[in-house]
Amino acid sequence: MTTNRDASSRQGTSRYGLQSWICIGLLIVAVTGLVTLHDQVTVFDFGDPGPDARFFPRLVLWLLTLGALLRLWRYRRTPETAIGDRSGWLRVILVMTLMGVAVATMNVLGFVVTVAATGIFLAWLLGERHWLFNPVLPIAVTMAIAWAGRHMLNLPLP
Amino acid sequence: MLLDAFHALLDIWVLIAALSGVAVGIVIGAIPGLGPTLAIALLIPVTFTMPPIPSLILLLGVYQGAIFGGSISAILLNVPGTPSSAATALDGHAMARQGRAGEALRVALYASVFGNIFSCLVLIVLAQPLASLALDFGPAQMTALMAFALIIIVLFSGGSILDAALMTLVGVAAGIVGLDPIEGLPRFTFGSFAAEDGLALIPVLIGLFAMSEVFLQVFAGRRTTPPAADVGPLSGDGTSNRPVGWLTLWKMRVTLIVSSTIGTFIGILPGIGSTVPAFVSYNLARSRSSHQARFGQGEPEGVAAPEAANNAVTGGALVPMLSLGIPGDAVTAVILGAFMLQGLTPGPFLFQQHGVEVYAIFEALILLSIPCVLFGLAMFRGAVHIIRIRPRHLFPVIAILAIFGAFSVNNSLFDVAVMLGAGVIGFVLRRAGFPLPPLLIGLILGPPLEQSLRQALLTSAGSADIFFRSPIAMGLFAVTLLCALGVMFKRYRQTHRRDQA
Repeated sequence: MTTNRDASSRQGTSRYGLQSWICIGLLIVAVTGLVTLHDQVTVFDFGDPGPDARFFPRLVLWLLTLGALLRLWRYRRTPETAIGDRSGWLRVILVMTLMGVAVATMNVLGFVVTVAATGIFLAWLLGERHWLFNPVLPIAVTMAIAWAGRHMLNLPLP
Repeated sequence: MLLDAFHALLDIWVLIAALSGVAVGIVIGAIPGLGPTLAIALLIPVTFTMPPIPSLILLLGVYQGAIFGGSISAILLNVPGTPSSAATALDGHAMARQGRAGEALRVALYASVFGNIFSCLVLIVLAQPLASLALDFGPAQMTALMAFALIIIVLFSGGSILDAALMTLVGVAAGIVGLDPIEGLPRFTFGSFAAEDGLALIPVLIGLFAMSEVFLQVFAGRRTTPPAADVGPLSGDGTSNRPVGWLTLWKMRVTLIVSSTIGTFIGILPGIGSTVPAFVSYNLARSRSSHQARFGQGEPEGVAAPEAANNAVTGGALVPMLSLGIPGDAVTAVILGAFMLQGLTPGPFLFQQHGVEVYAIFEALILLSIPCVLFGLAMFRGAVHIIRIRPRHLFPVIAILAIFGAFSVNNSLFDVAVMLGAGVIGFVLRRAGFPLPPLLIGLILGPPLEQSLRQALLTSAGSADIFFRSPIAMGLFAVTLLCALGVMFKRYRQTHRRDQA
């Protein structure tokens, strides 16, 4: 695995890095899919010849399992992208959590409040401290979008 | 048909859509890190209530404008706005540092327009006959065609073949969620009614390309600052710009034609994108030139060649997308989603059922060159300010637009959750250097591949003989095998040479 791709080059390398963790994650998902295939895909057999609804998922999940295993084996001695600094991950997890909360509470608090709050927090996290760009810009953009969505696109925004 | 299509274009909304699409495209393309894929993904929800022709012209205008816009930051900052503009930066930025930024931008603009018109003419000539040919395809042939497209994307997407294959499989696996395409049985829905429709394409692609960019920016924190332009004024006193007119273009005619041909025909092949043809054209222009030493030092032909090639890809990539329903790269995959939302399903039947709309779009693609030139020339002076927009102003707005866009597809918060999930997955995969376009194309082609494969096997009572009896299917499998062997041989030779060196 090459180590100087995308944003990863800044974060250095590691013996077991992001690539291995992603492959292990894919392996777990594929194996779980294969194990739960019978429960998740109900097939009503009328004796028809040919493949049923489980045929294609089984094929793809087996290929995915093999692909993930092959990837882990092929690049086992190659340095990989390091997971990265903890503060970066913390910021991403914070934003993800905030967005998750925004989605969960959108029906109660409304589109404008939740989405503008997300925008304000994001701008603050990215280092914006000027009052015009934070909070005025996210609030103005959210209100403009909400107005356009309701009146021009006829969307039932929460 | 062509005349009817032209009549359909004589509408004020078409004009407004074309003008705003090109302007937005140039601005977004000029901002480093943002490209046509992100721009189109975010703008799709705006087109929901628009009629098909203006909405698709708006998005195609963004596509064309963004490809040219990428060259602005490449020339002025040496930071390509889009990956395909990297070759333009080699000579474009050298010209800019010599005080010839205005000349470099004009050469890039005119070459872009030439490449675009050339590829659109090829699109008009090739797309309809190819679609007519595909009308005779049954399930076995369609299976072979989809398999061919997916394998070509894996082989030619650049980087690791194994990574591209893995991403394609992830995309195909994600396409399984929802109702089975033959019997309508729910699969991996975990009892959720909302999941029975499967993962909607638009939220997934907004997540993969827009929200993942936001997460990458959040991960990088405050470290990212816009690069400073070191090129001085673009025009007027103190510059060394030479006039760029018809004579300049005439002198470059062979470079423009060769580069446009390369861009168009490489663009037709799925998975290669516009970066490869840009560099191939640049190298070819340098090897053909009698001033080879000037390349890299500020040679206008070094700007014209990659710009003509990467813009010619736009028309080329639309050939398989419109006639066969096979997107060649991430941008055409997003545009395919926009066509489907407008009720125009790309594929062999598109020309039969919506001929006027399709030809109107073809004609508009050529006519879009006019606003592209006008806005391009008008925006040169403001370009320096556009490319210096700070990420902390831009990315909160992108996040807000992404949430709105995902919700507006089906007025569903489930789609917003899907978008966020796709954003997280896209962020992690991009940090690890896994390619996203194969994932998206796998997601799009997975369900039709399954449908045609199972239909073929059902009609032959489960026997694979149906594929061996079809000369078209066998031909496609043979071409796929030859491509795979060719790539393996090339990689073996490269490794062998590296070991010897």
